[in-house]
Amino acid sequence: MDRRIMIGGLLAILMLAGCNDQKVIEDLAIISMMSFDQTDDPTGDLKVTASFPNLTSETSNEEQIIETIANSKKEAEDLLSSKTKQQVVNGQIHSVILGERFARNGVKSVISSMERDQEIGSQVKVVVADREGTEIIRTEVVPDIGSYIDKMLKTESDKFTIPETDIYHFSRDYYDDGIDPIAPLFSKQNGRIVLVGTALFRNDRYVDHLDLIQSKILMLLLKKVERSELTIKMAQEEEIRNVHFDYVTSHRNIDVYKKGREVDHIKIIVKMRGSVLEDTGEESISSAKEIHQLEQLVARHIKHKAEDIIEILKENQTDSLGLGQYIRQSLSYEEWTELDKERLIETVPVSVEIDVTIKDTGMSQ
Amino acid sequence: MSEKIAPFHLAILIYMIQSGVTLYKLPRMLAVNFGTNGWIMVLIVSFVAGINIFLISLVNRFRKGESVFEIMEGLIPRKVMAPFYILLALIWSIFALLVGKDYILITQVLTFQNSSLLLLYSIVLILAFYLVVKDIYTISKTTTIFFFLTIWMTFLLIYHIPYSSIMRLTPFIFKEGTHSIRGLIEVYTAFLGFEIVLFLFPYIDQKKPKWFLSVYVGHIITTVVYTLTCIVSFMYFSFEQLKLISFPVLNLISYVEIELIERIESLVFNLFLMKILITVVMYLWAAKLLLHRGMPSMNEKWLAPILILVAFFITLRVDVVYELAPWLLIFGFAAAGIAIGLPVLLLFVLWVRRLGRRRRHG
Repeated sequence: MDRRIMIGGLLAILMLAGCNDQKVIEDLAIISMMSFDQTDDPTGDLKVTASFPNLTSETSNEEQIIETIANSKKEAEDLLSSKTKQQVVNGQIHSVILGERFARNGVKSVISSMERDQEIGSQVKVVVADREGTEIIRTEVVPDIGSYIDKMLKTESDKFTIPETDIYHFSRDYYDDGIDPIAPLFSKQNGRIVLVGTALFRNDRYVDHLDLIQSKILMLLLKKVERSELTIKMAQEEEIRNVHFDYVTSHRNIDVYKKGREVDHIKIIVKMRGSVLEDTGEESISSAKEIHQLEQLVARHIKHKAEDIIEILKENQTDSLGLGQYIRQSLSYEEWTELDKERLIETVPVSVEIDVTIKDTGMSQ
Repeated sequence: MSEKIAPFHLAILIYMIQSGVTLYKLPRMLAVNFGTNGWIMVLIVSFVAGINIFLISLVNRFRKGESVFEIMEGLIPRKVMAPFYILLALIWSIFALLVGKDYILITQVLTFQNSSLLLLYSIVLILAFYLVVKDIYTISKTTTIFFFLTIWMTFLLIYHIPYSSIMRLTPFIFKEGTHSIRGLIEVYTAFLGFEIVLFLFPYIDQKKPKWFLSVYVGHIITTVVYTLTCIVSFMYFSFEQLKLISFPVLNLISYVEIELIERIESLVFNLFLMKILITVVMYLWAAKLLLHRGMPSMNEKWLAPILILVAFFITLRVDVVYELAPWLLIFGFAAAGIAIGLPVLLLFVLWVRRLGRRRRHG
C-alpha cells in the first residue's frame, strides 16, 4: 500500500511537470514565414513581415500577415506580438526571406539571431527576394505560403537547379574562410512566386545573382550532381539548335597547381554522363563520330557558361564554389594565413574542363 | 551471497559512467582549446586515460578482489582514514550533483524554460536516489537496459555524413587553439568515471581471471563514441562556426529530420537523461560506500539521502550556466586528481606494506 502511494506520487510529479509549460494552440500565432527588409523609417531600419495560419476558427484556412518596424529580429517578434491577440511563437518557421536591399547591407545580425534562438531549428530555409521580401509573403495565390515555398525549394534542390540553403548551410559557409554562402533567389512576377536563380553572397552581403541556367551550371561546378537536365541552345546557320541533355551523374574534381609557395592556377574538371533527349538540329546522331561531335558541342557550350560564371565570381570577389577550401588544403598553415583571402578568387586563374559522355540518345537514333 | 557483476555488464557500466553531459560540449571544447583538427586530442587524452586505467589494473593485480578499504587499512588505521573517506565522498557527491545540474540547465536552454530548475532537478535526484539505494547488481542490470536504449543514438551520425566534408577538417593540426592546461583537464573529465571500478573489485565475478579487460572495453566504447561524434562535428561545422556553438552535439541532433517525427531532438535529448543518471548514481554509490566506511555507526539507510542533501545544499546557489562552469571545472579537476591520485596512493600503500612484510620476514 505504502509503495503504491509512493509510486503514484512519483508518477504524479513526473506527469504533472509536463503541465507546467503548456501552450494552447489557439492562443498561438505560429509563424510560418518571416521576411526582413531594409527601411528608412526613423523608428528602426528593419521591416519585418510575418505570416501565420489563423487557427482561431476551425474552418478558415486563411493566413494572417502582420508587419512591424524594429531594429532586430527579437524586437520585431515582441512588436509583432502586440499586433495580434495571440502569442507569437517562431518554432515552426519554414523559411526566412531576405529582401534585396537588406541582403546587400549584410544579413549577419538576423542569421546569428536565428542561430542563437533555441526555438528555431537550423533547417529553416534562407531565401533572397529580388525586390522586397514582404512582396513574396503577400502573394495570395496559395493559402499556405510558408510550406509552398518550402516544397518548391525541396523539388528544385532535388533537381539540382538551386543550392540547398538553410540556416545551417548559410552560417557554415559564412564562417568558413574558404567558401562564401549562396541562397536561392525568388521574385514575384504577375502575382506568382517565381524562382529566378541563385543569389551570391560575399561574406554576409548579397552581391550578385545568377539566372536559373547559370545556377544549374554552378551546381555542376559546386558538387556532385545526381540527376538534372540542361537545354542547350546553339546558333547554327540562321537557326537555333536546341539540344536537351539529360544527365544522370556529374562528378566534379578540383585540382590546385602550385608553383613554389604560390598557387599557380586551379583546374575544375567536371565529368558528366547522360543522354540526349531532344535535338532540333538537321543532322542525325547515329554514328559514333556524330555522337562524339555532339559531346564536344555540349561540353564546349557548358564550358563557356561555366567560364562566364567564374568571371562573375571574380568580378564580385566571391568564392561561391569553395575554391578557397581546396587552396587551403594544398597549403601549409603559414602560407594560408599569409594569403590575401579577400582578393584570392580574383587573382588566381581558374580553368574549367568539361567532359561529356552521351550514353544514349533516347528511343530514337 | 549477492550476485556478482559479469564482465559484459562491467564494460557497459564503465562506458555509461564515463559518457555524460560533457559530450554535448566536447567538440566545441576541442575546437576552442586545441584548434583545427582538435578531434585528434580525443585519441591522445583517451590514451592518457588508458594509462590511468592501467594503474588501476595494477592495484587489482597485486591484490585480487580486495577492496580499496582493505588495502588502505592494511597500513593506516581506519580512524585515521575516516576524514579522508568523508572528504572523498563529499567531492564525489558534489561532482555527481553538478553533472546532474549541468544536464538540467542545458535542458532548460532547449525546453521547459518556464519550469523551475529546482523541480526538474529534484526529479532527477529522486530517480537517482531510487537507483542508488539498490545493490550494485541491480544498478548494473539497469545500466545495461539504459545502454541499449541510448547507444543507437550514435548511429544518428550517419544522417550527417552527406552534409560533412573532409575539406572542412582543414589540413592544419592544432592551429588557432588556446592550448590551455584548463582545456586539457576539461577534456580529461569527459573520460572520468573509470576510477569507480576501484570500489567495484569485491563485487565482480572473480572467476573470470581476465575480467579487468572489460574496463578497457568500456573505455574503448567511450573513445569510439567520442571520436566519431567529434570527427563528424569537425566535418559538419566549419571551424569558426564550431567555436561559436555552445552545444554542437545538440545542433547535430536537431538537424536530423525524420518524416515521421518532427523535432526528434526533444526525444533524443530526454533519453540522454539515462546516461546522466548512471553517472550520477555511480558516483553517489561510491560516495555512499566511502561515507559508510568513514562513519560506520551511521544507519546505512540514511547514507544516500544525507549525501544527496548535503551536496544539494552546497550547490544550491549555483543555478546559472556561467556560475556552474567554474564549479564543474574545480570539481572536475578534483575528480581527475582522485582518478590519478587514488591508484597511485594505493600502489604506494601496497609497496610500503610489501616492504614492511619483507623487513619482518627478513
